[in-house]
Amino acid sequence: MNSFSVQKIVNSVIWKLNILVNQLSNSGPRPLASVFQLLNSKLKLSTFFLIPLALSLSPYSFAQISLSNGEHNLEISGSISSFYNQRFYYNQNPENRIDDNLANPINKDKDRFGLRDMQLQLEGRIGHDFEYEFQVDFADLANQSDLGENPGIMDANFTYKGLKFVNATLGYQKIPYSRNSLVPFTFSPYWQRAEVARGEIFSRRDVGIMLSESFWDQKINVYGGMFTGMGEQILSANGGDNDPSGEFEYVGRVDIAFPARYRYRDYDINSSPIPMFQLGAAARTVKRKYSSFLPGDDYYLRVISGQKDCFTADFSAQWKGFSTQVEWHLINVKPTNEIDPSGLRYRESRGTANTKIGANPTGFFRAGGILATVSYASKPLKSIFSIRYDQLNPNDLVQKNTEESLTFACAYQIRGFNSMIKAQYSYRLIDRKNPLIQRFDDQLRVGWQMLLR
Amino acid sequence: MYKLLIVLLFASYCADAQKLKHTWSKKLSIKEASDICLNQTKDGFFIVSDDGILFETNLEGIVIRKSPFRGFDFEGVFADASGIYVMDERTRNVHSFNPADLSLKRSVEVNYNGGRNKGFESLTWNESKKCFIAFTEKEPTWVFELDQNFQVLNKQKVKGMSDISAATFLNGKLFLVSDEDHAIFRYNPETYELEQKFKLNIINPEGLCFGPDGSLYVVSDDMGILYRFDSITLFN
Repeated sequence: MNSFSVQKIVNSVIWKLNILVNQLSNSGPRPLASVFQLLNSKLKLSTFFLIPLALSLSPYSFAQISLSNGEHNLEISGSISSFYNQRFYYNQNPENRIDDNLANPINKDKDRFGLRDMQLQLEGRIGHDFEYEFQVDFADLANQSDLGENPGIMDANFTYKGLKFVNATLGYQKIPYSRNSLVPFTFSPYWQRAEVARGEIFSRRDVGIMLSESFWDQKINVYGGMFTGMGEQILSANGGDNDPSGEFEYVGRVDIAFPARYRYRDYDINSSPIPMFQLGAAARTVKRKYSSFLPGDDYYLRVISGQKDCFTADFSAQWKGFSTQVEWHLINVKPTNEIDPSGLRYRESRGTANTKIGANPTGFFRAGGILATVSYASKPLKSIFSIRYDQLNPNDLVQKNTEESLTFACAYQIRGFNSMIKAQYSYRLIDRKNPLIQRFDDQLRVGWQMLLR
Repeated sequence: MYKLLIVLLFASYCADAQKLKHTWSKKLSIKEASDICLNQTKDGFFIVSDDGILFETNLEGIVIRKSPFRGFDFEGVFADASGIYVMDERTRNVHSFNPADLSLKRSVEVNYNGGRNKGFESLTWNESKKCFIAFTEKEPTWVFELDQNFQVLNKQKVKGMSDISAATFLNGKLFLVSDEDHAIFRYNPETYELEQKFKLNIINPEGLCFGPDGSLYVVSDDMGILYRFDSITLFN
């Protein structure tokens, strides 16, 4: 399909969407109606935005580059993604105002263009026994942001396969815990992972060693890892060292698929001719002496002083373009309330010694949630449509502390995942009432992703 | 308008290609089988694996012997009276094997700087053009025409499918199998233009060939199964 055909299809879809949005603009409760009104105004602009971009596309401009001397094979790839973000604010919330003052205007600093990814990836294989991977996101490094959902360094590790009975991966790597976390973000029509799985309540990467092996024609995967337990912070300017306890985090995961190997991909873009399923479970445990709140951390749960045990279970299925994923998380925390005498780290102020349920003190609190996604990938339409529900409660000792969101996403695949325009709208179903924790408003994000692979 | 959307959403269910149904299948003991071809005596197959091993089997897929040589990622195999030829995707080498003991005779590199895992996926003989042909997997799909010494004679882009996993030639026609499309495509071997598409009900088809009686054989990498399709019509 040439770029001119792409332009015609895009214009046709936008024209039909304009009709739909006009019909919906006058119906539905706020803020959905305002969302559709916004979409209506934006879509006219998007026509002019997409046409020149579609015309400028060269269908053959996307490919990894590989170099080989027969023994050592190196592959170079990368990605760039950028978006426009629009938030919707509740006027009565002081947190949405400048200086948290209701008398001040709404702080619209989140209405912006953003550079999400500017990644370079090097993957190599040496002989039969060694593989390595190095991946960096320059957008996050430029922001001096190596914490949170998108740390600057994403992968820096090597794998030894010479043991035959198990593979060993050493270095900075993804922690084999949440299935959603293991799916590369670029293979998604969403611009953000679900709140419960995006790395705010558990770390997604760390330095350590992981052992892994597959059985039964790769239908069963087993992982076991030992990490520092500091997560992404291990590479930050404030970290680099382990917690003063000197202890480590231990992680284990197992998943089983049927009737064939099930790759860590959530969208059935190849329209599987027969139903496929995967079931997984994982657990991790770590004990820290002092917590360290990460700047910008929304829930202060990623690294926490005390004992932290996490459990997750997941289910995935796909068939004829349809796919679904369900993932459940439970975190059990026993904070220590110890004060760091150096004053460099923070006391866990949510210590349950001072928090009671009714008249009874409790020695622990729990966090957790669930995410569920239903999607359809259409090859004729070159599109992915998806709906995601996610729920998170970061502390069950606090009343009215659960947040629930419904997120809609659609993506148009100009060249598969290599060049994809994607849009996501997050609608807050239930909001947390805890004023101490940062709110998350309804949000629309539209942008373009290009993978150089 | 919503009716139009519903019709469009289910467009993938429209029957626009003939569907092939297998009549026999057998679980292989070969891990990650990636291509298959008929052996010279037409009483068995050569099958290669992603582990870089060449196997010879009988017509039911039972391993008779395997090569002592281990490559890296074998993705294409072809055999004729003059030898056995295997394409290693990772190193871009065409290996020639001795039919007597499956030992390695020589290796020739066919240079290609595309993605490590998007390199050559097949190797077969184009009877119409009297040359070897090797297809790259995707992004883009190239067909390389090679002489008897595997030197590049011509290179051409091929369109009409999402990717290519294997290729074979029969009765003046070229047949390609696509892993992502779950389909077999019939191409004109002179122009490499698509003629017809046949849907497969198989996960991850990675190799195909025709048996001594004209039956179609397809290997599934993920399932580790050899499928046979009898009494099908791929020429019309």
